Amino acid sequence: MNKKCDFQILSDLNDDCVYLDSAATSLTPRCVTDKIGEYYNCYNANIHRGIHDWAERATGEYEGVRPIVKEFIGADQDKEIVFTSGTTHGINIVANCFCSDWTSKDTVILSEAEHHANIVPWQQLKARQGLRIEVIPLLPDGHLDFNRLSMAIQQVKGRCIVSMSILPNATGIMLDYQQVSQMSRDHGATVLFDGAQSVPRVKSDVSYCDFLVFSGHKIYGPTGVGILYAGDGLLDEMPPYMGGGDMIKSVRFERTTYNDMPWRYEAGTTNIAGVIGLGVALNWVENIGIENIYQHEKEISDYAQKQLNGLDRVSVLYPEAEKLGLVVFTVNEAQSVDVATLLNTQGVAVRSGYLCAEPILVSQVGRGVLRASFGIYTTQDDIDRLIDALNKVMAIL
Amino acid sequence: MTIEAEIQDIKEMLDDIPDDFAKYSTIIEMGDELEPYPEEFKLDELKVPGCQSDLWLVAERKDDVLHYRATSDAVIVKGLVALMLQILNDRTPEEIRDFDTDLLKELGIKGLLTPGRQNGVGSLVQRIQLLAA
Ligand SMILES: Cc1ncc(COP(=O)(O)O)c(C=O)c1O
Repeated sequence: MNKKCDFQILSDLNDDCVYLDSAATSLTPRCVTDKIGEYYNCYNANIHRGIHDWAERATGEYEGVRPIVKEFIGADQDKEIVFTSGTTHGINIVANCFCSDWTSKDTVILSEAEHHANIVPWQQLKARQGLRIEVIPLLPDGHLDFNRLSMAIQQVKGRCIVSMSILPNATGIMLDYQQVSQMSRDHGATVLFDGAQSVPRVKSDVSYCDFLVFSGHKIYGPTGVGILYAGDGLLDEMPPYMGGGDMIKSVRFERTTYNDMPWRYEAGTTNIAGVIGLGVALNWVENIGIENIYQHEKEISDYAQKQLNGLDRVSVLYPEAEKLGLVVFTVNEAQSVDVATLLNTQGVAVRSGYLCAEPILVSQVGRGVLRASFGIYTTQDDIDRLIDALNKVMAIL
Repeated sequence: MTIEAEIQDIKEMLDDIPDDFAKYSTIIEMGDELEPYPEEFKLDELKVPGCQSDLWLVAERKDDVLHYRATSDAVIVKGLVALMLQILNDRTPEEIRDFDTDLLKELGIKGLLTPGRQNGVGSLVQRIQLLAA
């Protein structure tokens, strides 16, 4: 599958760039950038307010994205889809609204491999109102320790939310989310899945969770837009996260009535062009088929891991585990920043450092790492170029 | 030699190297020549902030001039440190405070010496000047 031609940024102009940082941000196909341009050039207006033509068109395009998202993740109703600014925003809404009155009797259960976005909001809640945070470690092979999860869930006294990434951005190892879901629900716990890395490459099924969050910019869409799926009724009664225009039914100084789901969580003017662009991105992905994307990235990830495992000085994190979408590694006796800087001079873009997932990398690696991550446009040739460049870099480090 | 002339010299040396990869290799080799940095000075309070890797710097007064020692675990940063010290070491505080840091941009390695860049060379120069204040 060669999809490079759909991406302006991968055209002749940038011919010698090998982009291996899609886990941070995927590239954006021309159909998405065109659609964003069309909004600004043809019907640039605010939504839900004006009754003129442009406003109606903008509202129609914007609201038209809700059913696209609904279908894409297997939700039942449009109102379960909240437009956010991204994964981080979605998790903050759940922490601050769904868990607004949680105290030290209540528990959030995380895995050791979470992104900071799924750690810090809970710590903030804990600092304010004393919520318990339980962290489930990974086994030596990189998979979640289900015995520990089971023990942790059984010890819960009050309310409980299990909040985990389906595909952690620092390991690239799929969570057995169906088992997490079953274990949690057997004990009445609520389930939040961070789908930032999984939604772009594995079929999503929200029947396994209560909340699902993901970002547009990791699924070939624009930055600054994302989705919070909230199962029917879960957020209806909660005080909203942010107050302002469009999230209300009526405002008097004596009393304000909040709007219904999902608009009660979309205060102010949202990222209208971003939402419309995301709709096109999801349709584009749907046309290629998420199964095909999965197959392609599986092959690329296997190939990359095999090639990296074959280099003497390279240590892959969890070298035996199956990876999807990314491979994390270090070069023995070389600092990751040095390697990344030199790879960049060879036109190879990788991520270095702690990948916004310090806890797992500090405990498993103890220093900054390198991450090669992939998208629909990544080819075996790109991986070969990474390996060649790495060999060249290692020769001088 | 003045600071300006030293920068000019290094610029000419780097300009002769055909590509960025080779420039970095030369810079890394310069790091190998750096005056050894005492292990006991690898203290948190001597770290230069704003760098993805650790970078330590100490200054001491020797007669009229300031003598700096610095190092990093990352070899590119260490090489850049060597390059900066070749320009700025053993000069009077006035010289160090007053030179035009924009001149460093002329060294011309893509983005290398821009402040805010993760390699922290911008912060290093700032700290060198601060210690000369
Ligand atoms: C697993 C995971 N969760 C959360 C995030 C945060 O996403 P955003 O910055 O788009 O809110 C990321 C992005 O790096 C991620 O990979």
